[in-house]
Formats: sequence, structure tokens, C-alpha cells
Amino acid sequence: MLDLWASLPPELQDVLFALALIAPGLLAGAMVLRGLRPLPLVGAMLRRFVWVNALFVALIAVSVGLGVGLLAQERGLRQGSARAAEKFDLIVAAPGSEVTVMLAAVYLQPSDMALINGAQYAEIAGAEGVAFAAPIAFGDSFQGAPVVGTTVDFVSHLAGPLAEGRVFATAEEAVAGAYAPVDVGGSFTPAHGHGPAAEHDAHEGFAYAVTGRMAPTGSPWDRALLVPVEGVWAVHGLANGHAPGDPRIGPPFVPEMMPGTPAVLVHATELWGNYALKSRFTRGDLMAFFPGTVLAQLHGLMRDVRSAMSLMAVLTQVLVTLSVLIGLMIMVRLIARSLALLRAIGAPLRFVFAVVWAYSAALILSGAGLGLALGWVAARGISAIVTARIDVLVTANLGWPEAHLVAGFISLTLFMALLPAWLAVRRPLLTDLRT
Amino acid sequence: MRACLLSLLLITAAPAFAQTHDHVAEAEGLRVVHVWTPATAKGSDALFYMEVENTSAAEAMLTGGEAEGAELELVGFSYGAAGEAWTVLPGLPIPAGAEVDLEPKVLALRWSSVPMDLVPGAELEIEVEVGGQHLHAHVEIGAAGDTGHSHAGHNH
Repeated sequence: MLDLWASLPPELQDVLFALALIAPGLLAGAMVLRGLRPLPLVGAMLRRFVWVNALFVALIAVSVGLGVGLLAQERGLRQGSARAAEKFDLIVAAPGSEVTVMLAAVYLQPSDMALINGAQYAEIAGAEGVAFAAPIAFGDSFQGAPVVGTTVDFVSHLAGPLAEGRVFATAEEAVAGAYAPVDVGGSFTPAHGHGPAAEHDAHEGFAYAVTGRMAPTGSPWDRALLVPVEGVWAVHGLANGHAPGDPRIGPPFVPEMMPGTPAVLVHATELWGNYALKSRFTRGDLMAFFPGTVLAQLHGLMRDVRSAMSLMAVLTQVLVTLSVLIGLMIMVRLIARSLALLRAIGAPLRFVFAVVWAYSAALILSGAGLGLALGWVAARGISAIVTARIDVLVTANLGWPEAHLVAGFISLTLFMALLPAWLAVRRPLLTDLRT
Repeated sequence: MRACLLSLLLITAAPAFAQTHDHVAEAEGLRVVHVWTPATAKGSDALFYMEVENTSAAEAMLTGGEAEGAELELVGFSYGAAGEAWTVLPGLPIPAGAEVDLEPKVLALRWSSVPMDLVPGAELEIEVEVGGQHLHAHVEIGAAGDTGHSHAGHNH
């Protein structure tokens, strides 16, 4: 049986799981309503208590929407951060924290880091199987956007063909990220450092001319300004990696003339090459790691938080529905006389039971449906805010996990709705007729 | 005659010397150390992790292995928006004097659809193909959530 399940395509597994979740609730409904037509009466009840019903539906919708929105958002954030790291095959840096280097090199979160020297870089760039080794030299900024020194190979690897203009050809030119604060044709003087403490006049007299703009990548690099690494070295009064008077940009660098770089992105000619290079450069004086691995480990640690979030979402929804059902039990007392009249004119107990259950089910289903829509809107709204804050494109769409959550919720609460129906038919007929 | 007998003795005894410690399998300068796998349910894919050392004078190619007659594929990990993925690699060269770590979410030998439950404490032997050698290694089966061998860090 397990083998058969494992052999099914994931989409089919999702559909079957959703059906399995919702089936008990639907089955209970089918048994309750079998051979009866309580819907006209239910419609009348919905119209008669329209504001109370609207309040009940809104309560359920908000609780479902919150759960659905949170789950979709968490997944969107996870996928967005993973997408942003996809282009960073292998990072080599000085030994230290992989997480710190990943945050600095992939997500452009500034950090103090030791440098890889010219000889180490030359060894990495010259290793067998290396297609290119791009320095990633950060530290400067312009209007809050990171200014990163690198090579032409890196620009092409990160974003493919430019959306506009051409790539930098001299140490005084730059390529802007898709949403960087400088247009093609404009120029800027970088500030030394980041944030409020950045020294805006430290590089006075030096300016980069923006010659091109990258296509969007969905990563913090969309706000960055990419410049030749030689420009970063020169603006800090260091050697530019080449022999004096050599105006060339890009590798190979003269090891003795290379001031160093905090990180190097290594791209191998073959897929297996990345793993061989990681082994080769994991040693005492260098640290090589896959950002994807570090990110997967971090996301793995968050799995427990995700499970707790799912459980809390379900609990919240069930608690809200429970309070709605308690409200319905009170309402049943209010309409007890009408229900008693129904029974007095010959309606079977099962019909009264079906009316009350179908009334509760209508509120639950309306609330769940509205909650799904609300969750989608919430997820989109929160995504836009998160994207603006962390510069990682987060696109939260509703998926199967949310469908499973709602299916499970509906099934469970349709069962819970049997309780007010059962209480309604257990009421004393004569007492209710006299009230 | 004595030399011939001695040679014969050495050849027949080679497999015994190839596995001197429960955590180590070695032959001709190639060593496989600390082979382990997390507990795996029947029908799922098992991933074997280990350290492979090449102390010989020549590059050795790690290509895969065998377990209970089934092929073990060398696979590399990747992670992106679509989630986690393991891709089959044709082989991995281990330079002379170098070491390669097969570790979670990086590299592994994969046994697809294991025919039985791999439970902690159970005995399992696999064959690791490296540098043309077939090294027989004992596998330590850890708990499902384990991230390393129980003797990781020990220098056998």
C-alpha cells in the first residue's frame, strides 16, 4: 500500500490527501441530509438572522484567513530566499561562519570579514574545473544601496543579458541592479560603509558612471550597484590587482597586486566540479560552502516552527468555530419554539436535526470559503511588505498545504456541528411549544 | 617456493587486512571511514555518508557502490525555489593525498527504494567503489534525524 502511494505523482497525492481530509465531513453531511430537503428552511433562517450570521461567518473567515495567510507567507519567504541563492553555486571565503558569509555575499547584509589574498584567489581561479571565480567585494554604499565590486562574468551569471545598456568596461563604470537608485547614464559617488554611519565624503572626487541595468533577479542584488572590483580597490587607495599602468579590468589578477576580497563565487564547468572544488577548498586557510546547503539547514531547523504554526492555525480556527457553535446553541434556544412547531406539525426529528446541522454547515462553509479568499489577500499584502523590507522577492500563493488545512478544518467542524443539532432535537417539545 | 607461498598468503589475507576496524575500510591507499545513514523506511531512498581518503599517489575516482546487490548512486545536493533535489553525478575525482566528505545536504551515495526498513542498530554492509577498488564498509544506522556519525571527529 505504501509502495503504491509512493509511486503516485505528488499532485495526485495532494488531491487524494485533500479528499481524504474533507471526506468524513462530507460523508457526515450526506448521511444527515439523505432523503431530506431542509435547504429552503435553512435559507429562511440565514435571511432572518442575517447580521448575526454575517458576524459568525466573519469570525470563521478571519481565523481561517489568518492561518492560510501565515502558512502561504512562510512558504513564500522560504522559496524566495532559496531562489535568491540559486545562482550562488559555491562560495569560498576565509574561515569563519558560513551563515555570516552567506548573509553578506548572497543577501548583501554588511559584515566584517577576513579577506582572501591574491595568492589564494589565484589558486582558486586557476583550479581545474573552474569556469570562473568572481570576487565579491562589498563595504561601500550609495543611498542605502550596496556597492559591490566584482567581474563581468558575475554580472552575466547573476542576471543574464542586461535589460538596458552595456556592462562596465572600465574601473569607473557600473551596472545598476534592476531597482537600484541610479539610472543608466547617471553617476554616483559611493559612501564608505553602510547605514547612518556611512562616510559620504570618504570617496569625494570619485564617481562611477552607470552604463547598464540588470534584469530583475528577485534578490537583494536588484538594489545593488555592481562595479569592477578594481574600482573598489582603487577608491580605497589600494593596488588595483594589475601591474601599474595596466588599465584592464577583470581576471587574471597579479597576486601580489591584489588587495584581497571577502568572498569569491566559484562556478564550475561541470556540475560535479562544484563538489570536487568544495572538498579542495575546505581546509585550514579557506572555507568553501554551498549557500543552498546552509539555507536548507536553516529552513530545516525552522520545520518545527512551521509545524507549530500549522497546529496553532488549526487550533485557532477550531476555537473560533467552537465559540460560533456555542453561539448557535444559544440561537437554537431562541428558535426553539419554531423548531417545536415544526415537530408538532409532523416533521420527523431527523428533519429538525438536518435543519440545524445544515444551518451550521452553511455558516462554516461560507466562512471557510471567505477565509481562503481573505488568506490569499493577506498573503499578497504581507508579501509586498516583506519584499520591500528585505529585498527578496516573496510571492505567496495559495497551495496544497493551505487546501489541506481548510479541508481538515471543514471536516472537523462539520462533525462538531452535529452537537447543536443533537441538542436541538433533545429539547422538550411541550415546554418549547408553551414558551 | 617460500616467496611464492608468502605472496599467496598475502593475497588471500588481503580482504582481512582491508577492514581493520569497524569504522574503517581500506585498500591500496584508499580509506572509507565512518559510513553511516539515518534510519530509513522501506521503499524510501537511503543516503549513505562517509569520509573517503586517498593516501595513494594517484587520483582516485569515486563512482558509487553496491548494497545487497543494488546499485548505490553518487548524488549531489542542490536547493532552490523548487525545494531540495539530489542529482546523480558521474563520479568525483579525489586527488592524491586528498579527502572527500560525503555529508548531509552536500554529497551522498543513494540507495533508491530500500527493500527493508533500515533501523538504528541493525547491521548493514555496503561496497564503495573508489579508484577501481571495491571497499566493503560497515554502515552505522543512526536515528532518523541524525546529522553525523557517532564517531565523527575520531581519527581512526
